[in-house]
Amino acid sequence: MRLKVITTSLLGIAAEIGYALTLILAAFFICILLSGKI
Amino acid sequence: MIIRPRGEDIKIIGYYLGKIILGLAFIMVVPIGVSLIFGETNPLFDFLIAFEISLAFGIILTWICKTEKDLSWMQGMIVVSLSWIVATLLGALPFYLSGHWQSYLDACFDAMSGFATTGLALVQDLDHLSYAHNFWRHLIMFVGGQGIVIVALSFLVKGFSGAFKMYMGEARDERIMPNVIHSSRFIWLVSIVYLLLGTVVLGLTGMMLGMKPLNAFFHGACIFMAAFDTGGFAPQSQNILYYHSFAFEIITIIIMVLGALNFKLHYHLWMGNRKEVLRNIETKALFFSVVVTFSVVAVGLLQAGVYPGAMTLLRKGFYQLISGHTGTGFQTVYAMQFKNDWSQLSTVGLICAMGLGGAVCSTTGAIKMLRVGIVWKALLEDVKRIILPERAVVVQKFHHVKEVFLEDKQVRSALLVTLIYLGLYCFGALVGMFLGYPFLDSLFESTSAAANVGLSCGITNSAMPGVLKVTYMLQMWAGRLEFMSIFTLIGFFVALCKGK
Amino acid sequence: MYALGLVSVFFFLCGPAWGQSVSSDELLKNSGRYEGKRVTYEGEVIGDIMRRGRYAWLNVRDQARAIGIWAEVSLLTQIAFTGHYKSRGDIISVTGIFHNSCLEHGGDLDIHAQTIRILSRGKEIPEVVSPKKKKLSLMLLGAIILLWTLTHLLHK
Repeated sequence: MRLKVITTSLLGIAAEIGYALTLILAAFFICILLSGKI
Repeated sequence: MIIRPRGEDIKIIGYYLGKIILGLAFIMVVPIGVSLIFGETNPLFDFLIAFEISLAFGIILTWICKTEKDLSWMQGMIVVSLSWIVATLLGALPFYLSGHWQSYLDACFDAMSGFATTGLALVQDLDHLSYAHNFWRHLIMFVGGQGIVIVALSFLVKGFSGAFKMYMGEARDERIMPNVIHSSRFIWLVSIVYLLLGTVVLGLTGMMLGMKPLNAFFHGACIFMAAFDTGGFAPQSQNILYYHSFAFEIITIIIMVLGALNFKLHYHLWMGNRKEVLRNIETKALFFSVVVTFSVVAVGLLQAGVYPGAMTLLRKGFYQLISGHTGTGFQTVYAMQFKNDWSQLSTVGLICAMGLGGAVCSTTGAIKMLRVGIVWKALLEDVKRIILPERAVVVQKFHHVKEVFLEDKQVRSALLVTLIYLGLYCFGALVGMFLGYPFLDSLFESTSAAANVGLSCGITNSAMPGVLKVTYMLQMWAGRLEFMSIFTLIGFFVALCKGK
Repeated sequence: MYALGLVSVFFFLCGPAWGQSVSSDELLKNSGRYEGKRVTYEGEVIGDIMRRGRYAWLNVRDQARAIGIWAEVSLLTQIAFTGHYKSRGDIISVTGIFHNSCLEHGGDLDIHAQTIRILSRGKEIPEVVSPKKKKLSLMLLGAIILLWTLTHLLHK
């Protein structure tokens, strides 16, 4: 039972970190688009 | 007819204020511990003195004003607004005693900046500050971000309804769990779990980057607290530029974004409702807002020609933007570089991002995404009414954990608060301009203070006029508490003078 | 004699690259002028020297602010003290290429060091405990014990 709670919370943390990473990727995409070079 | 507050009101306010001061005193035990661990004797005495003074005030207040009564709305709001002022005055004591602040006012400025998770700083010679004082700078961000009153609510206050009134007064208007004390404790749980995770990740990264292990973990804990509580203090004078590390920048960006999320969202995601991150009006608004403001900033920077190439644009342009939007205030550029290298367009984009902020009931400041989302939905609704046939029934909904019907009351409240924030940004800008600073710089710094961001274009330094220091402090205070408790305090004093 | 003459001419020709240091204020205010040029910068080494393979980052602070220096590890062996709470770092003179926005380092403002000289040695600074603070904290402790006893007696 406790393991289930911890796993669920960890997946929640992963979802939040995933959101942050998506923001960074979107920004990087904008950088490449606008500057034309890496 | 204005009714004058009774002695009873003042007694109740004094009693709960005393409890909060006692709570603050006990938090000072932590830097006392740090000074013992690092063998720093002068800091030990600085914190002992501050601890004792706070304890004395707390004991006197709770003794003189002893009461069994619970708080009313007005009293709760006043306790909140006053406790922030008291925390600033007492929290500044160890700073002032260290000798690293030029005056007690400067020390109070940094204390308010810390508790309000702003990040503007007047500290001198930060690179030679003791571990204990540096830890205190970051700890007050951690405490202030959660809410000074929340700290007390979790541990010291027994009555529930009074607790709830103070909780709302500290700009936590979301009920996370039915019981407000449980909500406060959940906020602490999230913060502590991430504190442990974040400190370990940052510490290990610091070691791989060449820092000594002790420093790596010390910096890790400090940087985490400043990042998650979207504060923006850093242990060294160069802020995050000190580390010269892309890895550090990415990790801090992730932590800043986590800190900018609604604690209610954390709750639902941790309880298994993971789809909420895609559906929620605030996460959608934040994503959209970041993309738009960053596009403006990026175009402006490319115009200026200062960061060619996607990597430099990301590491300099996006880092400052996300730091500003989440209200953190970490910088990897020098203040002067905002003035010299950033074009007006990119500066305007950054100011807009700072002014908008993160989610409600997070550690961020500014207008906040729920309000931005509500105003946007209200605009959509009005446009629909115009376009659709007169007899069509227009109903607008938004998703915030559950589907919510957009009501006029919510729109009015969102617009009013937005207007007050905009007014606050302009007020500080005007004061800056009165004192001779240029328009864009004044607006930048004022927005940074009022939105509790902390990015600086150079105006904030110990040589700036005292009037401006006090102005920014008041803005930080007002911005953090979202006005309600401050208006109540003003009303209370008016009633005290004019009431019958 | 001949060698001395040659050296003087050499110094004269190289001008500000040798001997005349620039402040961080000057570098920031006129970054366009110094971009990509060899400069000499002086200050105290603060914090940790962060080794990254064959190179390392050190942050050197003058009156106004600290600047990042990117140097080969071999140039840094002579540095003994860095600035912390209980120590003053070595004062060094760095000569190298200045970048307002270094492409190699993600846009960081930095100096890629070519030579480093120690100007003065740093040292450990023993703490001098303030007797006033000791006295004040003891007095306050007394006051608190008094207060606490008073409140408890009156409560009973």
